[in-house]
Amino acid sequence: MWWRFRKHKVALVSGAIVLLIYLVALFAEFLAPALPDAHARDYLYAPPQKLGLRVETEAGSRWQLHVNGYTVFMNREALRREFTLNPDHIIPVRFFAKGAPYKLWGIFEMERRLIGPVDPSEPFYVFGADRLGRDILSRVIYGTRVSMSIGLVGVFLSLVLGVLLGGISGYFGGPVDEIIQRIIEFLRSIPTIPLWMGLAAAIPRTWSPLQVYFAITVILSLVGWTGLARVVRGRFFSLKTEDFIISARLNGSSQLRIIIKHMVPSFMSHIIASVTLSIPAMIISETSLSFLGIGLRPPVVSWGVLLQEAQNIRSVSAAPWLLMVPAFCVIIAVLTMNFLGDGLRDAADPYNT
Amino acid sequence: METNTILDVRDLNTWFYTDEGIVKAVNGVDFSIPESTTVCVVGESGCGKSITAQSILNLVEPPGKIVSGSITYRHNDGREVDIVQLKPKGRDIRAIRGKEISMIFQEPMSSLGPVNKIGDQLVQTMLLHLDIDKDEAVKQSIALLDRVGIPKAASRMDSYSFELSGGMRQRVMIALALSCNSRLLIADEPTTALDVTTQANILDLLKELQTDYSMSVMFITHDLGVVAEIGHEVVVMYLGQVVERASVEEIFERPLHPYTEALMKSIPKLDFDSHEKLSSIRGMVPHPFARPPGCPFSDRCDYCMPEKCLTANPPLEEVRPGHWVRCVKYESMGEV
Amino acid sequence: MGRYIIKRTLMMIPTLVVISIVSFVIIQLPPGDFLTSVVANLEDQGQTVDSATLAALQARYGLGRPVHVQYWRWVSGIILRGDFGRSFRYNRPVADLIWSRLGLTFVISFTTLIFTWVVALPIGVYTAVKQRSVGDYIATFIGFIGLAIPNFLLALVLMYIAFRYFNQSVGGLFSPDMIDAPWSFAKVVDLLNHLWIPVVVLGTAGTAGLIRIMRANLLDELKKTYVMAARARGLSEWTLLRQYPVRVALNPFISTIGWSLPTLVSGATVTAIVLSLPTTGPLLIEALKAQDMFLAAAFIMMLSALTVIGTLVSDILLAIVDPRIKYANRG
Repeated sequence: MWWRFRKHKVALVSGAIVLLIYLVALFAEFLAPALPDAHARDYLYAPPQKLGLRVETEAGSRWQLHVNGYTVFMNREALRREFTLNPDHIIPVRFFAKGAPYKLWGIFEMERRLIGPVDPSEPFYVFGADRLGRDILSRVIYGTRVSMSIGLVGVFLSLVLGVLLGGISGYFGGPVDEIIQRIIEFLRSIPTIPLWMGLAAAIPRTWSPLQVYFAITVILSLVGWTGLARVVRGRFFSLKTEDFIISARLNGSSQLRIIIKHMVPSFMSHIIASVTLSIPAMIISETSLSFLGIGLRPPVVSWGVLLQEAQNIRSVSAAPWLLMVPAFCVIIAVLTMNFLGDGLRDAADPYNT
Repeated sequence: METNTILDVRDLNTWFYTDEGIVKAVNGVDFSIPESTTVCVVGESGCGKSITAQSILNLVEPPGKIVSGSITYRHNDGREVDIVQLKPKGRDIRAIRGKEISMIFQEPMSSLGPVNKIGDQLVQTMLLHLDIDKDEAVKQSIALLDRVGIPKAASRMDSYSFELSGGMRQRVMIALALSCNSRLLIADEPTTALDVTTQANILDLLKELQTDYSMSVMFITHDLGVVAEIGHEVVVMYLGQVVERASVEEIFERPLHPYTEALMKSIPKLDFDSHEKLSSIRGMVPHPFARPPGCPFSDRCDYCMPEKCLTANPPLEEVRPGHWVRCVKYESMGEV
Repeated sequence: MGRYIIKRTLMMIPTLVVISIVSFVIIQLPPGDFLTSVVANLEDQGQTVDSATLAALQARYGLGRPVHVQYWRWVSGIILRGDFGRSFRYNRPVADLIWSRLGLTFVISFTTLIFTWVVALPIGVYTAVKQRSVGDYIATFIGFIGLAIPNFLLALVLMYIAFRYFNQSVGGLFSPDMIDAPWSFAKVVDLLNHLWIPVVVLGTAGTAGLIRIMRANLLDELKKTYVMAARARGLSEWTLLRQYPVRVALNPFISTIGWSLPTLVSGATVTAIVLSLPTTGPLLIEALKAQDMFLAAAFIMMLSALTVIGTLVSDILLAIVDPRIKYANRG
């Protein structure tokens, strides 16, 4: 399987990007230049700064990683402050800069971050700031953790449900299979978003963000397992009549042993591919729900939550980075996951497109 | 080209350009098909028989490609055309397909359009090639279905292929092939997928039709029993090459090439002594990328002479009148 | 054929029953019963709720009675009287609120379905026939992107572009002066002018999916012997494609109506909220947020029922087109 997978260059590159995204999710605290809720009243809707490498001074130019500071003036007509980048105001930037203290994974106390301004009080908004002067880059990085993990956890739950019910359905067949198939058909025939919306709206407002997070994953996987169950069932059906399974049965192996030793390994690759293809769907679902305001809620930061803040088209036209940055993340994540899953599926089953 | 020849294949090369390398499925094939004759092409699976057949109608699909050689077809009026030179999707080759040369395939289950009525397919082909109107085409189609032995032919016109048995489908395919009175019928293992009784019926039908319509048939098979029953001439292929060519009587009486000989030994005979073991050919057809050097059959041959056979592939030589063989055993032997 | 239709229609009934139960459960999910929300709502509006009204409402919906009685009252009201209950927020019967919006949702979904077909069919055929050509790669790539962008995001980006570069606001289905106008030719034109944006937004993902399905199916079919057999009879490539493999590959295509409908309705819900279309979406989410549960349940149930009926129609259509299905169901 591996050598066939390697032939898919796109899938390979996508795999690397997916890995990168999960690393970002894992080390969010260290990679984000600021805390996700650190706000600054002076920099509401501050536009993105450009990261520069060389600084021009009277003594000539020298290498110096930097961003430019802002000049602020009041637009009396629009009644808001406007920012322009000030080329004379150099804010030096360095790697492993000290910033506000944080706890990596909630355990290790740390101060240094991957990148940041040498003087922590200077503004550093590579992707701009939002309506509270929060750093979009940092928020997107923290959002990666939530959005990507909800995909994983959700898919894991669907996988458990799907493999269990699909396996039962496929292995026993008969009336059991019939009932499970009816349930699957029913779940697939109702439009998911209204159903999710109904269920999500029933989550009590008083629940903690963590509870909401799990409630949402459960809701998503409640519908998501059907696809996996179908794959598993199909494989079970086709495997049941394969010679090596029959011979194992004739050799007197127990049912459990046949399932675990013979059947599961032979459809593992399909499961992996299907799982990879289900994650992006989960991510899109979470993002959609949070965007509608019935999924995750602030102070939790997810891509959907970030996009919800970009809902107002007027504020977006003034500050397009509010929309573009999280949108880009969602698209890249979903796209690479899809490519990866497609590559895996082709590798697992080259005769089935 | 002799006047009684209708198809002449010269040094045909059809190669497949796969990711793993070039597969020379047909590698320098020569043979010809005389008028009103059944030529059987024999060989194990993977010898390039089917690809040769597809090449004749220029039907080879990518990654396959006819690289060189010529396939000359002689029209009724004596006009000759090289099929290799025609565009695979062009008007000229389409005028030959189905009209001059028609083809039936190994899998009757999948060679009819699955959602098309049988009658529609027949009528469509006739309207395409013959100068008749639709009513006439329907009439002829029914007559044809009747001729190939389909009961209640008129009511079968509206049937779909999935409503018929394998044998019936193959009869429909034969009707389709005959619909425009083509002069050459290529039958690519038409009975392999059928059960034994049906097989015999279809063979009888083909034999009968060949005489009635006095057409030429190129019959591809791996079954020498079939060859004995319907063939006039035999072409034995191995690994994309013709290794022996002769009339049926000659081949059965005097198989020269060690491969032909081995094939012969593997047929059970009526006077078969039950203590004797039925022999099979040693080894298997080599992987296309692992062809032995020199003679392609050398690694399975009982007579292999390493110093000769592994160095060069012998040419196809006429060692008796009308009997051609490609083997060093008969090199410069002239008459055997 | 008639028997098949009857059989399929009968099979739909249990599904509809389950849908109504699920919708009812959703009404029951929020803590507290909805009379509390009614009372709170009415008091918000400065009205006092006398106990007689309360008792009347209680009796009407069977509140305080066992759950199955409540369910039966609710469902029988819908079936027998077309009474979906009352919206507490709007203080009007739910039936008054949902029909026009369901109608527009249906119009949008149906138009999108046609749009996806018209676009996906030729592109799918092209990419399969010209496999590995530049056009194939471009279509595949665009298809992937279409699948990767969530509907609402596409809507947001389109709105942003329209607002930023064309300085126009693209929300809604009608121009402001047309909203309350009676139906006329001008209003239909106005609707069409606004309809294309949600249709493109909604249709992109579906089109991308359909192209992939068509391509994969057709590639499978092109490998089969009957294609070569038809070619060997001298048919031209175009006739051959049209009458043989494409006809076969079309069947899974038609059956996609079945599963694309739920997705379409889902997508239409989200997109409608972003583009503030006068369809079910915005009202549904409002109802859910305000816990206006009769309204929400009516929407969820009717949207689901709509897709189930759509699936039925696609199944019947499929049986008409593909003789093999009729055959399998003849016995």
